[in-house]
Amino acid sequence: MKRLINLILLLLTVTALLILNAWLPRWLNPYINQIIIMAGINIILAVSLNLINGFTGQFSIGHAGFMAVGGYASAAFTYYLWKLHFKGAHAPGGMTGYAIFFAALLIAALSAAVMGFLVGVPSLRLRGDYLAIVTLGFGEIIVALINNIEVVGGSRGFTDIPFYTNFFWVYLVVVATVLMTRNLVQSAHGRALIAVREDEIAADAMGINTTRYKVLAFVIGSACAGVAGALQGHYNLSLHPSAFKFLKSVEVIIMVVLGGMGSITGSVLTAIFVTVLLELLRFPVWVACIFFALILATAILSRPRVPLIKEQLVPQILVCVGATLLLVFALAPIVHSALLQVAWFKAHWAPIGTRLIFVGIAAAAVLPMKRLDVWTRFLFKNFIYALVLTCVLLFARKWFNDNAAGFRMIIYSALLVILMLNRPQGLFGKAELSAATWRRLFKPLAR
Amino acid sequence: MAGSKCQPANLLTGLVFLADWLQQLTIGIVLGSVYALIALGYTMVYGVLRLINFAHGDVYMLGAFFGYFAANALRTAEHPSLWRAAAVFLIAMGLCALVGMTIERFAYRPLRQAPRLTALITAIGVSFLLEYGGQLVFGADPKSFPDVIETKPVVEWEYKGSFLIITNTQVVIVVVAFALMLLLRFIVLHTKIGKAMRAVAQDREAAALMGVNTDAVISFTFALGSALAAAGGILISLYQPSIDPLMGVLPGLKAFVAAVLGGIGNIPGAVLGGLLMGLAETFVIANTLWLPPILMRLGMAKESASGVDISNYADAIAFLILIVVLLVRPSGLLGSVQREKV
Amino acid sequence: MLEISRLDVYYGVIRALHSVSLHVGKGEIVTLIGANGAGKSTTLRTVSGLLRPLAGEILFEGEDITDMPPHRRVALGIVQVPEGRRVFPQMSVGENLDLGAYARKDKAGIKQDLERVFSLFPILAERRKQAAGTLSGGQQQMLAIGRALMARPRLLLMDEPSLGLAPLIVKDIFHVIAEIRKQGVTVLLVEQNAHMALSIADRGYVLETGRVTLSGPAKELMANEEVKKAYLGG
Repeated sequence: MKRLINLILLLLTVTALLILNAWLPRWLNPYINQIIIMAGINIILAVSLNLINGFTGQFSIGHAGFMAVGGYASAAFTYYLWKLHFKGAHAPGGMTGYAIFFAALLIAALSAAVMGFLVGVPSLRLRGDYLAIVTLGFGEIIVALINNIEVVGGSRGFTDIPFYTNFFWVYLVVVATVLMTRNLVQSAHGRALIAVREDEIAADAMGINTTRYKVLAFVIGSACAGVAGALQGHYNLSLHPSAFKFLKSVEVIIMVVLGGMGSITGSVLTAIFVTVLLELLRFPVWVACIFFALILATAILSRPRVPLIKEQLVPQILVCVGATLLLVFALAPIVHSALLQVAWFKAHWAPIGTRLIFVGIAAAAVLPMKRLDVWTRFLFKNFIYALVLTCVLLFARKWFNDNAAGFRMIIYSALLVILMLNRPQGLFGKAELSAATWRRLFKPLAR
Repeated sequence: MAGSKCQPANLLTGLVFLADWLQQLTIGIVLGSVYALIALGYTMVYGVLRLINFAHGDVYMLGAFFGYFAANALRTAEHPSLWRAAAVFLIAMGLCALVGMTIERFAYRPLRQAPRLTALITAIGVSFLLEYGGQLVFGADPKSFPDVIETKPVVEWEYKGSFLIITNTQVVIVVVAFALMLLLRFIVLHTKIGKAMRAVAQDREAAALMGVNTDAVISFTFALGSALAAAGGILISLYQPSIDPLMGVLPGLKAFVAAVLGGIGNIPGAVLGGLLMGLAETFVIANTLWLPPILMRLGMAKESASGVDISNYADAIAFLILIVVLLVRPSGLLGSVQREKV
Repeated sequence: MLEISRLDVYYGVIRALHSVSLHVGKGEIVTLIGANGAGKSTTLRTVSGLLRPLAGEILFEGEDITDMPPHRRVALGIVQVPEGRRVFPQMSVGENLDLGAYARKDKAGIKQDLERVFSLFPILAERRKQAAGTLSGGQQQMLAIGRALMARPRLLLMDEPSLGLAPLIVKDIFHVIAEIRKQGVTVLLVEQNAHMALSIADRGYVLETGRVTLSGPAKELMANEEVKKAYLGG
C-alpha cells in the first residue's frame, strides 16, 4: 500500500515539474528564471555537502572539485556525442535530448562518485583539520589538472556545451537529492553516520564500520555535486576551471553552515536565501532593507535566554525588535551626523532631542526585565553592528554608487560575519522544520 | 616569482648549470623565509585557538600596504637609511598587530564555544572584508612599493655559462626573517608570556586555572602573528615591488599549506614547512628538468617557443607535496602524534 | 571563607545547578559528594570562574567574586586541582610546577614552595625533567596537586582526586590532603568516593541532580541511612 502511495506521489511530482517547466518561462521574466535555476543547483550542492560535513561530521572543503569533475565529464559526453555522432548544426533536442542528458547526468554522478571514493580513501587516516586540507588540496589539484587537459578546453574553458538544463531537470534532481538524503539520514545507515559524527571512536568500538560510512558519505555527496556541476555546465553553456576553485567550495560551505549543519531544511532554505541575497545586493535600493532586516532577524534569534517577567515568545520578540529599531533609527544617524558636522549637530538639536526621547522609551521598555546586564550587553552588541554598518553606508554613499560591485561583496561578507556571531549554530542548528520545531519555538523557557 | 618556463633537458646536463642551481636555491630560501613568517602566524593561532585564521594572508597584504604608505611618507626612496627602513617595519608591524588583535576581539572571541566550522566561516568572512575593503579603499590596481634600500649585488659568479647573482635585498630578507624567527623563539621559550602561550595551546582551561589571563595571551598571540605577517609583507615587497589588495590570497594559502606540512601548531614545523614550500616552488616549478617531459608525453602541457609552461601547476604541486607528506606522516613533518585517549 | 548562595548554572538551556547554597569555613575540609552528573564539578568550575552563573552569588572572604574572571580568582588564592589531572603534557614536571606559580611574583617564596612540594611528593623531584604526559595516573595527580600548591592557595578546590587511581595511591593522596589542611589551607573536596571523602572531611554536602539534598557534619552523614544506601554501599 505504502509503495503504491509513494509511486503515485512520484508520478504527481514529475508531472507537476513538467507542467511548471513548461509554464514558468512564460509567466516569469528570464532573470527570475535564472535565479530559480541557480537556487536549485545551489540546493543540490548544499544538501550534498551537508551530508558529508553536517551529518557525518567530516571536514570537507573541496566540494567544488567534485562539481568540476561531474560538469566536465558530462559536458565532454554531450559535446563529443553531438559533434562526432550526430554532427548536426544543433545539439539533438526533444526526446533524444532528454535521453542524452539523462545519460550525461549519470556519467556526471559516476565520475564524481569515483573522485569522491578517491578522496574518501585518504580520509581514513586523517582527522579534522588535516582532512580539510587534503580535501582542499584535491579540489585545487583537480582544477589544475583540468586546466591542462586540452581535450576539454584547458585553461581557456569548455565552450559550446549544448543547452539541456531546464527547470524540470534541476528540480527533479533537487527533489531526488533531498528525498534521498532525508531517507538516508532517517534510516539505520543515517544513525550510523550521525554516530560517526558525534564520537567516531565510540562508534568504532560499537562495531560500526566507520570507514565504510565515511567513504559512503563522500561518494554520495560527491555524486550529487557532480550532477549539480553537469546541470550548471549545460545551463551556462560553458565551463571554466577557475570557477571551481576554493572560492566556489567556500560558497557552498557558507550555505551549509549558515543553514545549520545537520539540517536538510536549513540547507535548502539558506541555499535559496544566499542565491537571492547575492542577486538582491546588486541593487542599492535593496541593500539598506536587507541590512536592517537581517540585523533584526538575528537579534530575535540571538535573544538572551533569560527569564523575563512573562516567559513568552511574543514579549521577547517585541523587545528585541522595538529596541533594535529604536537604537538603529534613533541613535545611529545622530552619531553619524555628529561625526560629520558638529555645527549641524548643534543647530538640529530639536529633532535629535525627539530621537533621544525614543531611545528613552526603549530604555524604559528594557528596565523592568530581569538580568538587565545580559540584555544591555545584547542590545549594545546589536547597536554596534547597526551603527558600524549605518556609518559605512552613509559615509560611503558616493563610493557605493561608483563601486556597487565591490560593495556587494563587502556587505555580503559583513552580513556573513554578523550572522555567524549572532547565530553560531546556523539558522536551524540540527533541527528540521517539523511540527515539533514549531512547538518548541513557542514554548516558554523551562522554569 | 622566478620564471616558470624552462628548457626540458636531461638530468645530467643540468649539473653543469651549477650556478643556476645555486641561484634557484637562493630564490627558494628567500621565498621560503617569507612563507615561514606567514606560516608562523597560522600555526601560533591554531595552537592557542584551534582555528585556521583564513584572514591571516590578508594581514600580510595589509602589512605591505601600511609599509607602502609609511615608506612614501618617510620618503625612503629619496633618502634611504637604516633608521627609515626600521621605522617602516615598526609602523607596519605595529598597525597590523592592532588589526590582528581587533579581529580576534570582535570576530573570534565571541565564537570560542561555537562549532569549528562557524569560526572558519567567520574567518573567511573577515578575509573577504579585508580583500574587498582593500580594493575599495586602496584601489584594485597594483601599486609600486618604493625603494627602501639600494639594491646592489653582493655575489656575482659565473660558472661554465650559468650565472649566480645574490643581491643585498635578498640577503636582507633572509637575515631579517630569521632574526624575527629567533626573536619569536626566544619569546616563546624563555619569557613568562611565552610559557603562558604554550600552556594555553596545550590546555586552555587548565591554564586559566593557573592564573593565566587566557584572553590577554590569545590577543598577544594574534598580535605577534600579525606583526610577523606584516614583516613578511614588507620583505616580499622589497623583492617584488608590485602590491595589490589581493596579493595575500595565494601566499596565504601556500603559507597555510606550509604550516600544515610542518605540523600545525608546531612552531619549528612552520619554519621548516615555509622553507620547503619556497624551495619546492622554485625548484619543482622553475627548474624542473624532469617534470615537463613527463607532462608533455601525457599531453598535459604544451611546448611553446620559450619552453614548457607549467605555471598552472604551481598550487597543485604544492598541495600534492602536502598530501603525500600527510599520507606518510598524518600529523605533519614535525607534528606530534595526537594519541586520543578514550 | 567561601559563601555560595542560590547558584543557578546553565549549560545552554540545560540547568545544571538549582539554587545551590553552601559555605566553607576557614581551615575546614568540606566535601561535596553525589552521583555522576549531580553537578559537583559544575559547582567547582563556577567557583573557579570557568562558568558564569545565571543567578546567585559567590562571596570569598566577604568579597563578591561572582563576576570576577578566573585568573583574578587565582590571585586571590582560589586554586583548583581540575578533574582528570589536566597537566600540561608536553611540558616537563618542573615546568608544570613553575606554571602553577604563574600568578606569583615572590621568587624566594616560590623556591620555598617548590622545596615543600618536592618534600611532599619525592617522586616529582626524581622526575623533574620528564614530560608530564608520560607520567602514570597517580604521579600526574600528585603533579596536579603540587602544581596547585605552587600557587600558595588559601582555598584549594579538588575535583575528584581519586578518579581512576589504584586504592593504594588513593590512600596516599588523601594523606596528602590531610597534610595540606595542617598547613593551613582550606579545602573544598568533590568526590565520588564518598567513604574516603567523608572520613577526612569536617562537613559535607550531598548533591543530587543539581540540588543540595543533605548537609551536615561528616560523621553524621556517614551514619545517615540514605547516604549509606546510596553512596556508601549500604
